[in-house]
Amino acid sequence: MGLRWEVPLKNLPYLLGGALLTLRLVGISVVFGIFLGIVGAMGRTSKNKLFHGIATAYVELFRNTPFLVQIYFAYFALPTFNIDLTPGQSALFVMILNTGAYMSEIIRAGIEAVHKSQVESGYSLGMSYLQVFRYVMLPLAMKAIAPPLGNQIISMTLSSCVISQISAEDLTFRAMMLENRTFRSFEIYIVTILIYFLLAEFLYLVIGYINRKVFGISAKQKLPTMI
Amino acid sequence: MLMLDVKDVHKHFGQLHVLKGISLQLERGETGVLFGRSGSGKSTLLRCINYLESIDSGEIYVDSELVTPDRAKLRKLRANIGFVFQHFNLFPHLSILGNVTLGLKVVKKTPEDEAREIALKALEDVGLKEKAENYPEELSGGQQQRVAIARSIAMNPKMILFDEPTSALDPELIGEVLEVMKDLSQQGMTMLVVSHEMGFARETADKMFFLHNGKLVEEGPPSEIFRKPKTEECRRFIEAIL
Ligand SMILES: Nc1ncnc2c1ncn2[C@@H]1O[C@H](COP(=O)(O)OP(=O)(O)OP(=O)(O)O)[C@@H](O)[C@H]1O
Ligand SMILES: [Mg+2]
Repeated sequence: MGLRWEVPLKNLPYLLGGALLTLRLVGISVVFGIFLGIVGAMGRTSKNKLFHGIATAYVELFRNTPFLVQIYFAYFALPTFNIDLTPGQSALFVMILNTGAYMSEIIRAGIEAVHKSQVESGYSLGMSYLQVFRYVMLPLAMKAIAPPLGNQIISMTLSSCVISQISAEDLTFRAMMLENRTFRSFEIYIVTILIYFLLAEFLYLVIGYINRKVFGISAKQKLPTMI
Repeated sequence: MLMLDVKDVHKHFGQLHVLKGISLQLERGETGVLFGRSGSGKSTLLRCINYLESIDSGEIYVDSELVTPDRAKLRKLRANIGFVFQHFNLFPHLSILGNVTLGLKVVKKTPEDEAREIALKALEDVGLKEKAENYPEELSGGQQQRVAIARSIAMNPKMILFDEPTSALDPELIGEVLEVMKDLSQQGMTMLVVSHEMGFARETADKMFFLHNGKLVEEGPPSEIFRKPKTEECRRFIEAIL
């Protein structure tokens, strides 16, 4: 049997376009997801019953139901309430909420692992709760949670392929389209897998960079990478 | 002029009555050493002074300001009171300089350059100026504790509270920390120190306070406390640790 690598190679721009959508969706959902995750983690560690309750309900709901069904809900069920989202919008909406829920739990675990007297050191300098959260708890937690947070982002990137089920034109969707046209399954999926792999590696680099710059993780401390 | 005035403070943890009507005073510039058996309530008393713990009744005044749970007032109060802990004192994610400047920048809104200058001066006072760019994990326990003291000094506090600052240190590192504390005391800082370092107390303390089962059972200058303790408990305790 002859392998015809020119099929995926000639269509590389088409496939990469799909990967770019994946990357864009991941990028946006990470930014908003981290924000949601921080608020969620604050809620989960809050003594305020209402805040705690809302955060817990949100986190539990998104972590204990299938991602694909959440996507279907956003795309097929929300129009019932006259909320019509495009496939890309539905995907983004759910990816943000879903990843925010997972990040809440990761960040909460990190915050709870921060030693009490470091937090108290912050308070005893006269800092407010938000200042202690921002300058002490979060960076210390970030250090501990950088690896699981990175894993979560990678895992979201990879599992985002299910958005192809609502015809969002991501890498998987385009690979499927290309295969339908050309029947070169082997070549196309090898290239697709390679693209996902490089995407994941690229994200690891970005995550490492952000952790150093934003959260002050000292460059001396190396983040674990996938390889 | 009283710097610290603790009036009949009671504190419970659930059923446990930890502070049973504590009253003590420190004049401006005085150093007090608080000692007593484990569980007698020393840490709790210290923590109540800057409201890391709430109190059930009584009043605490720091420089004539009542310690209250009001958040804005509390932040101001805490910025004025240094607190040096026994363990895990420094922020491990920040350099030594970062540790000392954080409170200045975040709480006092001191501009970067000025904060740096103040911090370097404070580090010089504790003999660690050359470690400014290092990270806490690269320092010995004694050096870390001196940085913690510098972090307090940098805030220009009215008073510094120390909770067993040397008890987690290897014996050979204790001296350097006590030395820094002695200097501070001589420069006129008001200090309340929980410590069982009796040599330090003898040389430095203006007053000593013996806490027993949540009560202040004995108080006086070191000369009196060491020579003729009034209570049997205090006498036995001092004998045991000397
Ligand atoms: N957060 C807390 N919750 C419940 N009980 C506490 C708490 N903190 C302290 N206690 C209890 O209060 C009592 C006094 O504790 P405290 O830490 O003030 O004693 P201490 O004199 O500092 O002892 P040590 O010399 O061991 O440090 C102890 O019985 C302790 O178990
Ligand atoms: Mg104690």
